[in-house]
Amino acid sequence: MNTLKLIRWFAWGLIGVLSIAAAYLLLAPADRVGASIGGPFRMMAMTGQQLDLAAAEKNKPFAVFFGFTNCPDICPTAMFEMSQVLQKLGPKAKDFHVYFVSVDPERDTAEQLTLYISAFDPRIIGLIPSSEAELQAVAKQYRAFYRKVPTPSSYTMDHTATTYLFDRKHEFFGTIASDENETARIAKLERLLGK
Amino acid sequence: MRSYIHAAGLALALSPSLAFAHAGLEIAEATQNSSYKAIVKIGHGCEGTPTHTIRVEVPEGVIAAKPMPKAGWNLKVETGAYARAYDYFGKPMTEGVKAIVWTGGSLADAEYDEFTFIARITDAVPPGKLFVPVTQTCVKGTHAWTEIPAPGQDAHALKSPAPAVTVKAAVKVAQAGGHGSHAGHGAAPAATALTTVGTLTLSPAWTRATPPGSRVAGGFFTVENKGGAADRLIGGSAEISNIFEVHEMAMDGGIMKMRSLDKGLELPAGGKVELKPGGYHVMFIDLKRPLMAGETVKGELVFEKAGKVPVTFKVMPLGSTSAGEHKH
Repeated sequence: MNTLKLIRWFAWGLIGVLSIAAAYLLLAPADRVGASIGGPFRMMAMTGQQLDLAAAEKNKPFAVFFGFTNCPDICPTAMFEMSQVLQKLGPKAKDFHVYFVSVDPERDTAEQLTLYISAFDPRIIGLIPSSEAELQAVAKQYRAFYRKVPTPSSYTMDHTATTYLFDRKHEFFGTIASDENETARIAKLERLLGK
Repeated sequence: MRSYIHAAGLALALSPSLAFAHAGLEIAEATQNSSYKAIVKIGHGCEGTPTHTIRVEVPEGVIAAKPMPKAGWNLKVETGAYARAYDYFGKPMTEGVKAIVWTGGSLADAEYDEFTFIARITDAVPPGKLFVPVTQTCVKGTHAWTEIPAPGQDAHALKSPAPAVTVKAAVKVAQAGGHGSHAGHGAAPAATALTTVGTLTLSPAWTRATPPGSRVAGGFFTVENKGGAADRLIGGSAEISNIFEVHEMAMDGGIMKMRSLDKGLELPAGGKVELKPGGYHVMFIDLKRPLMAGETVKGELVFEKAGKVPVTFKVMPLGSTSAGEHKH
């Protein structure tokens, strides 16, 4: 009898533990799942000043995009669409920044990136890694992909075309894919800003 | 046309021995719906004996042929019905000269001479090589320069190839329907025009304004190939960039990947290929200056078969996804 009782107790205990674990997995905030995407870093901004992301964005949400100025399609379109959305969000997003990290520091000088970004909303800030190692480390932190691809005349870059969003606690909030429409973009940013 | 002359020169430079050994055509290139002066070159006799007769067959689709008389030779033409009626400056032409014969002369084996006619090459002649069979009859023996290579076969492999001329497609620009919708819009005419070249029809081409500092831009248009044979977009040029390439772009798991199409972009027979953002595009590399919305950019596309086609790219605003209205 004692043995049976022990088994029953053990079984109930096991069910309890599993239920708590399941509840945690189901109910845990989504951003905890992606907690390993992103993180603080320091990098030279197009202005020539060193940016300390953690300090600059303290208690503020922000976005990160990996691109390059000799990108014919995705980058200018993504930055143009982001500018449109920021303008529509207006004062709600006045302190919101989008960091454009160059994956082509070889060609993207501060001057060139400044010129390029000048075509878009001033809340978009260009960043230039000072070395391949620095770029590699940040890309790894953000799980972003980039690769140099030769073309007959020179080279181009393959790169992650997603915009990463981070909340006030600098935890990964979600992404904006390159093919999302404006309504979806605005809704995501409104949720992020209201958080 | 300048480049055609270069090409002719190049062909001669590459095969001097062949050019003299076989009967040939002096002018190596012609254009559909234009007049062509065929100068048949005869470089030797047969078995060392003099040539007394030259017979040239006028290929189907080549109309209104007129031979040039030659001193010391009798001229004869053979007329007959064409396979169909051809448009000749607005009038249907159903019959005409089908063969031209120069006889009674004597061209020694050691001598060279030319036999000339003019004709109109209609657009019924597909772009590519047009063969003009020539038969040379001598005191002893004949040379029938009448062999036509099978598709894919090299004419150089033939023992006695017919002289050939490369026909380039005529370029026609037609207004597409519905241009009234642009009334009062101030749109450039290029925006509604379809360009037809041979079997290819090109939609209006467009590109996008570039942020300052960017040295690249993509060019977009749609090509429909109504012909029975595939063609290929192999390159081109644009006045605003130093380099022009044909690229393919694709999103792969959130990663934008771009590749240069080193063999060009295939345009399958009966197919339609769209060059658009996020997909195939021509790329202007090393831009001489940023592109401004509203301006137009002149360029040229080069197709493997259809040849060179002038094109005008309309510059749409940043973020545009088509040549139409700006998306907001």
